Amino acid sequence: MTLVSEEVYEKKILDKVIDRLVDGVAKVIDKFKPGWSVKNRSKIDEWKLMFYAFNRSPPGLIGAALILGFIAIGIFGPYFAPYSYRLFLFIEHEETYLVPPGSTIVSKGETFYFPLGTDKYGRDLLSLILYGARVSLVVSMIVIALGVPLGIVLGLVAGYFGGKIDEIIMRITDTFLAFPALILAIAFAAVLPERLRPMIIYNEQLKTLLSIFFAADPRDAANFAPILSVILAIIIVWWPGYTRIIRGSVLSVRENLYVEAARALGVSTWKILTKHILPNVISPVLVLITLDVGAVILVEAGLSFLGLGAQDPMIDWGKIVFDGAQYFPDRWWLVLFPGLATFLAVLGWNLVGDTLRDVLDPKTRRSIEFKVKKKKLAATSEDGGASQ
Amino acid sequence: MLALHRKIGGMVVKISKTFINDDRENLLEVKGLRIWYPIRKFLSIVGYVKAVDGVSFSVKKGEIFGVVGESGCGKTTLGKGILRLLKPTSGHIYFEGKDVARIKGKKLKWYRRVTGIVQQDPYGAMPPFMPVKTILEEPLKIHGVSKEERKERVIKALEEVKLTPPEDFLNKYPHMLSGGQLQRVAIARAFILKPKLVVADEPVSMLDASVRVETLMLFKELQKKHKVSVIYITHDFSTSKYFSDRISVMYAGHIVELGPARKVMSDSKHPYTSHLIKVIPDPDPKNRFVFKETLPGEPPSLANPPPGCRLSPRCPYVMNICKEKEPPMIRVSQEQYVKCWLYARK
Repeated sequence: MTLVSEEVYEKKILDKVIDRLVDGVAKVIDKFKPGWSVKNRSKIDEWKLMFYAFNRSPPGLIGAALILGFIAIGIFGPYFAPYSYRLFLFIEHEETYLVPPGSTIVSKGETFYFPLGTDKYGRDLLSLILYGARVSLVVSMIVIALGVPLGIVLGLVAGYFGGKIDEIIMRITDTFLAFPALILAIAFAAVLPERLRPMIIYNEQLKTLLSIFFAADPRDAANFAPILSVILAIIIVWWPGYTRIIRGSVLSVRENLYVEAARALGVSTWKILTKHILPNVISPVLVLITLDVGAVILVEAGLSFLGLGAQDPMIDWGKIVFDGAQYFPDRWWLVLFPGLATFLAVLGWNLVGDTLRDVLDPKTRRSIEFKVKKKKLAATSEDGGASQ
Repeated sequence: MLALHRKIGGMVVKISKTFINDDRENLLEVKGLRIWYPIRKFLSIVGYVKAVDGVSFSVKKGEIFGVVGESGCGKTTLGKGILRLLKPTSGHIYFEGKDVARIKGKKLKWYRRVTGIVQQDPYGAMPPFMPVKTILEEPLKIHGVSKEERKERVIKALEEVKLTPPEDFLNKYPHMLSGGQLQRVAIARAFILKPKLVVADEPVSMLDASVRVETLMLFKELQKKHKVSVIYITHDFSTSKYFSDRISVMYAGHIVELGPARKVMSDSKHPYTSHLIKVIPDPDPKNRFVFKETLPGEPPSLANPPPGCRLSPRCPYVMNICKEKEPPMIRVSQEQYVKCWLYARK
């Protein structure tokens, strides 16, 4: 007998695309581990179901499109930028270098076209936004990649063992939670860059790696340090949120009968934590991650806006707004376009986060599934009834 | 059987020093088991809830031992304590002659392998993110069964609990199965490691009445086949009567009566047991309006139980000694024991 999904779902175009995508991924894994897709048939089907449910939510799809756009721009944007961020064109326009959007300028025999105008140094704003996307993407990803696992592990341990371990971990968490990100970032920005700068400059490999990460010229290596210190500051204030959420969920999940059953069967504590408890508490975290990517972008932009993040000529979205603010509202494009980019990226992550919340919660997911199921329920009534 | 005559409260009482069958055929012997839950108030312990307070009994090989009692009397705590899911406060649990009450590490893992559990709520007892195959395979994996054998044994286990054809169920998730099917998976999981003792904590109370008997029959069939001892914890006298070989009745953390199932049902000695049997619902619709007299009052708080016999505030036959001294376990007939002063030899 095959799974319910294959017969009952009325598939849309997107569902078919997802089908192919998931099958393709399964095939690739199959090549490395022969027989994998046959063994994990049910897992693959469950993943497809999740995607189908996601496809039923228009806000989620809009959010996904925005996110994909943001990631694509973050990864490939810098390579398609019409001008480098280091290219100071010095084109004079009404006594400043600020050129309004959509102007074509002829200077010294060369023709320049600025679709979004230029900043105060005469750099192309479109190129700056494309380069800035990379910095925002890298910063948010590093913060999530380092902060979340730390928070999850500590939350699991605190929640499962309880007692004194719980007290110790949670009081440390509270201490970090009480740190204002801004003050910490200022403190770091004052101390860290001085220490980091020589490390980056004299270490060729690190220099190359970071310049690839930030899509920046290795000559700007000295300016990577403030960004790194901002990343560190954000991580330090970020993980406690995850610890709290995971701990709270673990407290309720660990009382479940299946955890007790696993203990009675002799399952080790580590396996109970990772295989029985984690899958049941991870969905709020996934939602929080998507919401937090947006929040990290905002905080990072905010710190840059205060002059703590990227330094000239390095650029990120917050810094463009910071630089442009002094010319607002006469030179509106300096604030509007990077602001809009930030807004759309954050909105995308938030929409996806909201939809994921529905998709990952088994109860709401089932109701989404049911909406689709109804039509063919009569034909396969047995399957429909079995699911509850 | 050792029996002592001791002077208690002016009466000479015949006390069975150990009212446990000291035979070789005993698989499990519980002696003076206490499980107390601490009551914490801001870092300090202000008292204990004495959920299980000095319980002793034994379970023979291949026997079904019923534990009956109302909710809150400590029967589930007792079951968890025997499986070492809770730490006993004091007392001993002898499994095949070895004291398992305080074992750790490798020995505890061995104990986990030779014991199994079937829980009350089949919906909650299955990890929602695992298919049936993984659920059944997990215990085998932990206890080092080879890959080929694992697959064989999972399929065999599903066949044993009549979930056929097994291939249909291997990849199903718990939410795709009905309560009865889930409980069968739970039974399969409890039996898959070929344990010697299974604790069944109200295995059918959450199930539909129509599948209860069926599930119990299946359970009994498996129990006979594998010659497993079962501790059957329930609040339901009627299923316990048919299912168990011996019954013990619990009240407020104590076993108050213990004996062969039929004997306890037909000739109960303890006032509490007699009362419980009297209020079993009558299936005859003619009697539906007949008022059944219940004992006055309610079960005592386990944090602060009454001194002496715990039933004394409610007991119709209460004597002075009941309020002062806790009654010993008194042998009233072959294999039947009662914790009541009424049967003390004067």
